[in-house]
Amino acid sequence: MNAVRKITSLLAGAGLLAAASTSALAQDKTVKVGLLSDFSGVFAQLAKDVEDSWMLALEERGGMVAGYKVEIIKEDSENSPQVGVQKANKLIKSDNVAIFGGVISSGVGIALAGVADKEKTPFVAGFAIADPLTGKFCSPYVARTSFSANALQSAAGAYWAKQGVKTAVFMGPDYAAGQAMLAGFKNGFEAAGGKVVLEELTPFKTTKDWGPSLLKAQQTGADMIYTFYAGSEAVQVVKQHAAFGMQEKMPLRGAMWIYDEALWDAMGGVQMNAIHVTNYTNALDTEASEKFEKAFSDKYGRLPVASNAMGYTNAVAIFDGLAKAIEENGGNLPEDKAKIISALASLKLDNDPRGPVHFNKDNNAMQDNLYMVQIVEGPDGKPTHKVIDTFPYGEDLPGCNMK
Amino acid sequence: MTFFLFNLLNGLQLSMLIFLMAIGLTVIFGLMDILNLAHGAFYMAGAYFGYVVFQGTGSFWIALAVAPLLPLVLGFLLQYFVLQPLIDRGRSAHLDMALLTFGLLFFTIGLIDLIFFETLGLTFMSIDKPAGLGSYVDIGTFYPAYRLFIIAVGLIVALIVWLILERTVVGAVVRAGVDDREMVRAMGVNVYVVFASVFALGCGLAGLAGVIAGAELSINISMGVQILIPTLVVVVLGGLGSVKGCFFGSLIVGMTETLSQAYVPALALFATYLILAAMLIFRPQGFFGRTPKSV
Amino acid sequence: MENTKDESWHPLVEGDESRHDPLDEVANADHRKFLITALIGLVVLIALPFMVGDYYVSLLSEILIFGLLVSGVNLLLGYTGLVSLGHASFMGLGAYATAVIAALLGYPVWIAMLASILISLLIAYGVGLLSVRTKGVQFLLITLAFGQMFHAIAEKTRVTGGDDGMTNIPRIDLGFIGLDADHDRVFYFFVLFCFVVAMAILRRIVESPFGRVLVGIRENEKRMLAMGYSTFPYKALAFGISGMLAGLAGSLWVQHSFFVNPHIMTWEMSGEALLMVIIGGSQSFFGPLLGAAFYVLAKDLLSEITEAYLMFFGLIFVLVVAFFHGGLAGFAGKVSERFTRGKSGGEERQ
Repeated sequence: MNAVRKITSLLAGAGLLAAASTSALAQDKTVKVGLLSDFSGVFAQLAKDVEDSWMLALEERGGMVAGYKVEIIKEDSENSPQVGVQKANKLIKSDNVAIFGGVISSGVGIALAGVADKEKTPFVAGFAIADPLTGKFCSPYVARTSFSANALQSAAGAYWAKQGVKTAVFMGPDYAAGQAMLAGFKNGFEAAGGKVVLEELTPFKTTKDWGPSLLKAQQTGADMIYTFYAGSEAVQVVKQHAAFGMQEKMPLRGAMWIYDEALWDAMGGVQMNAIHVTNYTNALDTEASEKFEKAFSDKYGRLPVASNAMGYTNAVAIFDGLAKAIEENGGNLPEDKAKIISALASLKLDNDPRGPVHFNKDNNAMQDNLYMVQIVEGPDGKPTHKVIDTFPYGEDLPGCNMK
Repeated sequence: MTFFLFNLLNGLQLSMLIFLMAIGLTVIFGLMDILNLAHGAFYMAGAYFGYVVFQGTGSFWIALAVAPLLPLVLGFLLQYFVLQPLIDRGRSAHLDMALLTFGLLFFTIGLIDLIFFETLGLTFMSIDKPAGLGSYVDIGTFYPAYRLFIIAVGLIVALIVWLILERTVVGAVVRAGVDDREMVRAMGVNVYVVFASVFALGCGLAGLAGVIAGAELSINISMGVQILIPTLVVVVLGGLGSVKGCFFGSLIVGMTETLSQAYVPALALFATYLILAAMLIFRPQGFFGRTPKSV
Repeated sequence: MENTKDESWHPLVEGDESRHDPLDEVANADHRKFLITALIGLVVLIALPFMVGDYYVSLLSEILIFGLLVSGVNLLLGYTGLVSLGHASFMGLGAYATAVIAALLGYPVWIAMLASILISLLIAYGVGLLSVRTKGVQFLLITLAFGQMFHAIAEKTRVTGGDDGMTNIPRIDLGFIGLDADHDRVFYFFVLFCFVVAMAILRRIVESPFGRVLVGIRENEKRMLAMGYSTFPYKALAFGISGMLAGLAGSLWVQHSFFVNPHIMTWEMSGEALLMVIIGGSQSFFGPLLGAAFYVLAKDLLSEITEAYLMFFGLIFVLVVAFFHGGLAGFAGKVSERFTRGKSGGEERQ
């Protein structure tokens, strides 16, 4: 804290300070970027995955964007909106970042969208798939590089109905994300002729036993259970579903969270042969995917997973968006930071490992395809993914009225 | 009808898991006036150490036999070298011990996070069920064999604890201690060793519950806090220090959680707390408890 | 209320000395000491925001907001001897009331704040009526049960966004004095204003006959009962007031973070409030504020180093409960005692 800044802030408050420090930054050509993610709490692993991909993307760019040296400032939002808001304030007001991104949790993401809009500092969600983030809470200062719950789940619902699945039970945690996943799946599944016969929402984070819900599902005789659980809840549901001998009669399906690679060890083998939808798998054999896979495994000695790919898109969009905004502004960071988001949203990420990615008018990422994968035994005897089908991506829900 | 019967089995299974936790807590409370909020930490210690032993040996049974020893030893050390000396130095047992063990719970969660996640990079762990218990049995519908195993363990432990307390000299001392601590001291029994041993056994049982849950549920950082609350409810329902009360309290909580989830999901989040609050308002001494002797 | 009874419960009165003079002197000395401490504290709190950056100004606001919450918790814990594990739910009530009235219904924020204070007072008083017949561990558990039920309601309520919560909650409109509370320094001074008013009222309460009865209940409830006090309404009202302070804290908190969700009312949050009170010192008026400051600043510092900072807080908490019962305030009291010994006639309590 130097004396000049102190006096500036004393006299003029936050607005002038931000402007003064932006021009100061331009002289020594450093741009600060905030990596704000849920490094502790249930999403800790996903946050780490995102960070690894950020470092890879930064390394690929030699640590520079458009002549600026990139300085990454890492903060932990602890999967808590309160902490997230506090850390975002630190990044904006104390570190003067040009842009920040990374966040996993939808709750934190929605809270940060409010901060970004208020403080006029760009925020790019790395995961945070709740529909309202780029719907009701959309802003010229907010973008998202993952996807919305509805886009993924309605596509998956339509896919299964077209495969001849007539009835399904939906199981998920009874909170906003669970409800959003249910609505998305139901939209796609029922529009394509399927019927959700039971909506079983279990108390979030307090359920200890899925026996009662699984028994209820059995009673319906539906063709499959479609589910959204993550982390330890996912482990418990998958294990208990198998323990009740339901794998043959009523398969348990869902998106990548329920059968996340990070959970395979804890599932102890019962995940084998399960089928789920995902927006990236290291079993993809496109040129862009192979290139990312090689770069990632060279650096970290392991194969990338879906959350790595999501983190990679996040970082690439932020770095390349920054570069584009700086170039469009004659080699300097634009004063109006909304220009960073508009530059970012105009990017065409044709070489994204997930397949071509672009942004819609709400600044939300859209990709061309989704993938249906099965967990099978690999050549080394360890479980791995096999892509069994590729199908079209879904739509975002309406709701954004950008000023 | 079978739907109802299987729900009863599920309820019984959950009840027995909670019972393994609650029995230690209630006897410790009855005997020493310590509300051990760190009981959840010992449950975690059992589960995480169970995972380590399982990874080392590949055997569920060895993990089940060895892992509870860690919380058992830690429990003895905590009571004998930390809690009891503090009580003797004039810390009121009741609230100070609840607060202190509450801090200990936070400490343990942070420590486990530091070791397993930040250092080893492990987030979600589980212990594989042994062959034979990993599958399901056909009793009208497929039912997980492991759940029947949990019910059996719970019933056996309940029987053993009851036999020890009702039929042995040690049990007589402990029962006398619950009723009147001064009398036991007057009898010339080294009451500190008895206290620490009972504390250790309670923690060991919590560790046992942790290993068992580690195979059916999953091992994660919030498991200790999650199980603590239903356990506290059981202790209140049954009456502090009552083994019989603890058993029936566990049944009430386990059945309430299971049946509300099966039949009235809208109430599932509230049911247990409603019972807890109503009990404390109308019959604070619990179903089987005596009026608490100290404040 | 007859005065004789109250005086005999003044913490400094030990024997049966001549009734008026020494007591008044001690009380006046006490009061002087309090005023000096409060004045120095106020000067520091006014000067600080001009010496630090924007981010630390928002941390200062946070400290004062938590200070309100934990002073409420301490009215029960320090003055009445009741340990509540459900106070976060009253903070949540105040927060949600402000969010709903200001953001959903569109009323001015000052009306929402007054309504939040009233709502949290009434509901906390109601919960108090049901809870304060129990004590000790049973009281801890019944407040936990009520807290969890409020938390469950917040999770289940769709209009407030369930687990996602609500965002874009406005701050108070200070346009009538030409200021914009969206600036953190301005908002800080608004929080400070609320804090000073609330603490002044709280001080009046604990110094009043009502406050003496509460201390009497903590020291020996049976004796109070034997003296003819029905302790029950006192405890229920204390519960209501402490819930009201938590509600005010919640109302300020949503304005501070523009955001609320049910995480603010988990029992872990209530537990953290207890940590702050104990670490700061439950036996002194400003102890909880010190605890809040320590907690917020140490958390900010530790979380830069490790994500497992709960470990350190747990450890510090254990050590304070075991060895330093007066907490930070008790420690500071002992230090200042060194300098003023013989003059003021001893420490406040304990």
